[in-house]
Amino acid sequence: MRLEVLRRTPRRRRILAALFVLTLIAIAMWRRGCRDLPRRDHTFIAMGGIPITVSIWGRGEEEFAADVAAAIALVERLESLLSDYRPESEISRINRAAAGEEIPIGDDVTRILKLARRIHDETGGAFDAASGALFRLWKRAERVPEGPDLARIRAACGLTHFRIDEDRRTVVKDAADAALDLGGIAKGYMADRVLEILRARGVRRALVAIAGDIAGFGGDPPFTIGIRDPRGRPRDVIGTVPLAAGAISTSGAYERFIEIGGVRYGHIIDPRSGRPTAGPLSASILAPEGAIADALATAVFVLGPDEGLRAARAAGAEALVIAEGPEGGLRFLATEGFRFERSPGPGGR
Amino acid sequence: MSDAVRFPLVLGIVSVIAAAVLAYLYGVTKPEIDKRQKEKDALAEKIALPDAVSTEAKGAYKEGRDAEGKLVGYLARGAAYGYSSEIAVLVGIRPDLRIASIQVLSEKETPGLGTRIEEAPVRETWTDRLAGIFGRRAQAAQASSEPDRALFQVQFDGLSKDDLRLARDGGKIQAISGATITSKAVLAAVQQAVAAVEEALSPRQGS
Repeated sequence: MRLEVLRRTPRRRRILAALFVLTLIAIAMWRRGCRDLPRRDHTFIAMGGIPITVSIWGRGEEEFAADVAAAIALVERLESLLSDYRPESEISRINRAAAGEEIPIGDDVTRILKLARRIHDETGGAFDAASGALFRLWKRAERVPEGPDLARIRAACGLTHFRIDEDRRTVVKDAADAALDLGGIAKGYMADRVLEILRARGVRRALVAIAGDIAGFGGDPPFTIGIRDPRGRPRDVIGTVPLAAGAISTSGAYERFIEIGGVRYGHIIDPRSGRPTAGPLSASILAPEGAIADALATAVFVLGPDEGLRAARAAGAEALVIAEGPEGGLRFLATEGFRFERSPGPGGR
Repeated sequence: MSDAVRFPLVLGIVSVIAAAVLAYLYGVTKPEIDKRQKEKDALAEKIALPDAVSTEAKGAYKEGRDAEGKLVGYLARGAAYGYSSEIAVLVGIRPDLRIASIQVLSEKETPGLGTRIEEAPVRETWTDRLAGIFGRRAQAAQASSEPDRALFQVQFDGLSKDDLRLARDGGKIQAISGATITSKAVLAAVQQAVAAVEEALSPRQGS
């Protein structure tokens, strides 16, 4: 073939056309982001290593810096109330208290305990913010916990050991070694509270991501939230879901197992049985509030697809459960309102 | 010339041209990217050490002082590799070397955390510059009621996100549910930053 022929061949023209289109697409993607209000985001680290990203639309630099400073101050205050690593937090005081002792609690702890109790009751105890001891027992065990050991720990677990008195603003527990662990609800709650203060400061559109627990308002156009590929690396996305208002949380196994003596016993402890359960690969929840999405994600993960989706629906939330399918594939089970859209490419097997 | 020579030659010429175009585009966008990063870093510094009115670089770290010139803390950077990404942090450190705050400056390969999907309109972008080179900027500005927009963007406004999707991350994902960066990486980056200040201060404290 001669060069003159090559130059005139339609293939060359096709390649040129393809290159042109690719260039246009690249330019369009470059500029696409400019359609909305200007967005600014800032990430800071709290709670011993958890990244919090605050994204705010339509604010100038000064306003944004003040918004972020207010968010950081709020998160620090909430951490000082809710962390069980801080000896003087309200949660630590509750955990140290004797049975029957009245412990004064503030608005935040009252709200969070009420929400925790609501999700506990609505999921038949599949979410239990007072079951941390069970998890630690299995996590640290050198042999499978049985009999009296397990029974003793189980007896101290359960949110039903706590009674909130809203009028007196106190909490009382009926067993001295009952302890709260808000790991499954605090991040979602903090996202809600950050949004509250941003709204009060006059922000019209914002998104807050505390690790993978996300909440936003002003979602017109809706935010596009990626769902992590449960079998991929932390940044691999298996699909997306639009978030117009409210929150989304995902609970996943991500290759973590409770392992004792080289035997794998499942991903997560079922607070109802006190034993590990396999669970699906991940459970994602869309709910009106971050605290609810966070807690329900844990519960639905424990409950599995069938029971989990029913529980989510009953709680007024939308859910997506990703489970192992036949021949190493994946199964996607979702409620009607969860508009999950699978990504193409290697992440979207 | 035989085909065996001709085809590689043509391919080579095409590659060289493509490389030259890429290098040029990088050259014209780099200052803008650097400017944005500087602004972002300045904001992070302001947030990391809010009491500081002025900062002064001291080698590996910066000293922050209030209006009366009193030392209110230090600013130091650290970086570490996570599972699949690199994280860079800015740590605000109190004069007693306790950590005041940790700001994330950047995290690579992470749509969501630290992602720069900057949506602020930019006065001049490389598309504008290209248009300028071809003598069409004035024309483009007249043709569009929104002068900030680039020449080609208008044509793509009608497409949905599905039409323009990155294979891996869905094009315009604003956050990922279920993702976490390893706290180990964060810890390593923070330790590095604090160690830089400690090391620099230790001889002075010893004397």
